[in-house]
Amino acid sequence: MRAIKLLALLAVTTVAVGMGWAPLASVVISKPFPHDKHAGLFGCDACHGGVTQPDASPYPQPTFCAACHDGNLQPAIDWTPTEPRPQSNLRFEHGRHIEAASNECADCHVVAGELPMAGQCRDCHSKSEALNSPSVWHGSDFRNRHSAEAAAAPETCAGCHVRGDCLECHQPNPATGSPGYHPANFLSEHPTAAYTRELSCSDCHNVRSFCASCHLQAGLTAIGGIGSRYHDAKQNFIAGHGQAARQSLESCVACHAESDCLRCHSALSGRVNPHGPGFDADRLRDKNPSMCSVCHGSSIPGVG
Amino acid sequence: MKSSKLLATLAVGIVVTWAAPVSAQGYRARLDARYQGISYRGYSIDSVLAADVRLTGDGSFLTADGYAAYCPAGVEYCTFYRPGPDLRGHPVVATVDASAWGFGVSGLRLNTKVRFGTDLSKADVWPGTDPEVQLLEGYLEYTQRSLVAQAGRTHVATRFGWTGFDGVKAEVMPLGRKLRVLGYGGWGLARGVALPVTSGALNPLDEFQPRDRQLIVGAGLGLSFSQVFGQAIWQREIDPESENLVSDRVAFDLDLSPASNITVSGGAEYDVAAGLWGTADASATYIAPRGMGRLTVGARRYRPRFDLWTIWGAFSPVPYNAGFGSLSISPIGGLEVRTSGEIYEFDDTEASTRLQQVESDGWRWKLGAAYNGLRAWRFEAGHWVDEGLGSRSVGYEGLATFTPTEALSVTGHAQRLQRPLEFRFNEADVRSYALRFDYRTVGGVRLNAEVRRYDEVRQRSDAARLSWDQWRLNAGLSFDFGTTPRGGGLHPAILRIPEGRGVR
Repeated sequence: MRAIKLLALLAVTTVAVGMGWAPLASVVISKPFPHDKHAGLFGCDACHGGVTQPDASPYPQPTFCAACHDGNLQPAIDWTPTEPRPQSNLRFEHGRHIEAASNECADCHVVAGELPMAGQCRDCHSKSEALNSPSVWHGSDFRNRHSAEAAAAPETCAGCHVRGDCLECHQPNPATGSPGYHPANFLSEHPTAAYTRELSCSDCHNVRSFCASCHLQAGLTAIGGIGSRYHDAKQNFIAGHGQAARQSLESCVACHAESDCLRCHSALSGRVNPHGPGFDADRLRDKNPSMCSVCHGSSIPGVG
Repeated sequence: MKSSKLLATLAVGIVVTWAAPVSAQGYRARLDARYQGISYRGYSIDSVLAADVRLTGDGSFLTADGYAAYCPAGVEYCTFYRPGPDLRGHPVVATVDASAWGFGVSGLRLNTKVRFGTDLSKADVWPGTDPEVQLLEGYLEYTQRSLVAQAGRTHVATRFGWTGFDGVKAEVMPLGRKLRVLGYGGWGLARGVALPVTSGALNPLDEFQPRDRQLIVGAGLGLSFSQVFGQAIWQREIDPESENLVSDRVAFDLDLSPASNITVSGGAEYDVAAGLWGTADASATYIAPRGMGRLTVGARRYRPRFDLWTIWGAFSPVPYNAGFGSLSISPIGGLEVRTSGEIYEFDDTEASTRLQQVESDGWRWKLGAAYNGLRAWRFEAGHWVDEGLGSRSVGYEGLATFTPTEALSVTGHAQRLQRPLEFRFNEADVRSYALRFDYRTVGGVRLNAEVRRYDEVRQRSDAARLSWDQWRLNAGLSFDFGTTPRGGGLHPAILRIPEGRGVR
């Protein structure tokens, strides 16, 4: 019931925020510009020369139009330049593309005034790996910061991507070498990233099938207990491992099975209490009493 | 035997993939095959009679051949770790990504992604090839302007991560697609893999494992305006046998563009089952005009999450809080200079002890540059430092790509990594050098191969240091085919974009 209330509250808040921002969403609506009527008079750059200039508008000023549309030569018009498109995560520099297209705007803008179709992009970008890497499309490091945008605004991704793209990393291919999502040599580097969870490893890797199975092959799992001093850089590691475990439990479970910890952390043996900050016994018992019974057997505190 | 199995599964997969669209009006597929030759080394635990070890000056014990031994008082045998065997793996994986449409119903499409993999070595030393056939996705999709419905093996991508299930998903987008209402449900897959939690491949340590797949149900509400994107989502997983919860969470995301060059995004999740706020983040990004640069600053909080059928949640893992920033600038055409950094600190664990000191905070920093202002060349260089809990690393790398023709590119890469571990004496200095070739044939077939050399020096005060020097080899082949014109090897995602759909 509380979950439903929270969900409803979230929904109302989101709608309210969205409505509050709605006025900002309104843009100047202009009729499609009759490019065909102007095409014979001058080239694209006469009006859109600003696309190659930083900070310049890609559209002409109304005074430029008024040179002809003054009410005498041509009918006067009330035209306002279209607002620039919001910056997106897609990198695009007109200058470089114009250069590559030998100043032929129509190479991409097949229909004047229309955005290029996907086909126009791929005609060039499929020519080489150097033109088709994620960093070319989105800039460097986008892979590490795409999650928030992908979750909040998936439609911006869907303009070019399907979910199969996501699976390339979220279901990693075991035969893919590095660099892939991770940089080259990540196998040597991964303890650092894993201990501190720079990224959420389990978004793409199953800790049991991926981490534990490999550690098992390498003799790094703790089948038989942790008393054999693998963590030899710390004196008395076993006596003070609690802090490291609560900080990086996901790393611990990549080598240790539940049974390793239950030898001490169980009401049935050892009796060392593992519960720490934020632990809500009543709540968890209500949600899943089976978890409690692993350590407490049939004598779960607060039951019966 | 393994090779014949692989060939058989490949053949079946291709036949299935090709057979499906026979009666359809169109299909598009991509076959991607990759091979990797890799090796790694770990440790083997061993024991020795307590009478056969010697006491050193600092009070520790060494075996006769120089290994540090663990000898608690009164034991008959001491234990120690020897370098383990050199494990060599040769995983081969073929992936078929296919899409077919034109079943007589406008908007109906079949999407599948199947992976066939095996390890050509005698032992499966490299994770991910068990089981040999894995259905990553396979669903029927019906799309209309304001509706997307899917049935089969599919996923949802939310703040909770990438969640897979066998079931149905529907997304309704009324009000000109400004509102999105999402609902889904079915039998869940395990996290980070396209296998059910009951799969034997997910239990290498012989731990407790659920007998039944969890049921999953979720709902979401999203808003899409030109400057505001928002989403709230709820997801619950239930063990059908006991009817206990496996997880129960809500989350929200918000993405705003208060100005044309500023984006503010963030979100948070709340664990309803544990009553704890989970992972959250907020950031603001400024994008300079004409690709001149980008600045991002933000804060985030990371809290690990464990399914409730494990005991790990009861061990009270604590979150860390971090502040981060990144800056990239393009001072001249073709040059990008970038840097990023993050500092973080864990919440109090209430478990610290005077018996040992464990780091509870850390920082990381990266600096890099890329230049592609020359016609056929691209250069990159980078340096990073990561210092914190468990281990630290310092690295340097350089990369150069030469593209003499439209079909061929050659990349050279060199890297150095220095990495000590905090919890185990094991300092490593790894240098790697690689050469990679990418070649695209006229027919759209793409080939690539990479050879990489690792030279590693490990430092320990006893004999348990091991060498990781090795050669690695990667090779890949991909091929697109279908009823629509080939796109020169571009990824099928791009190829499936309906013509006329503008790039934002």
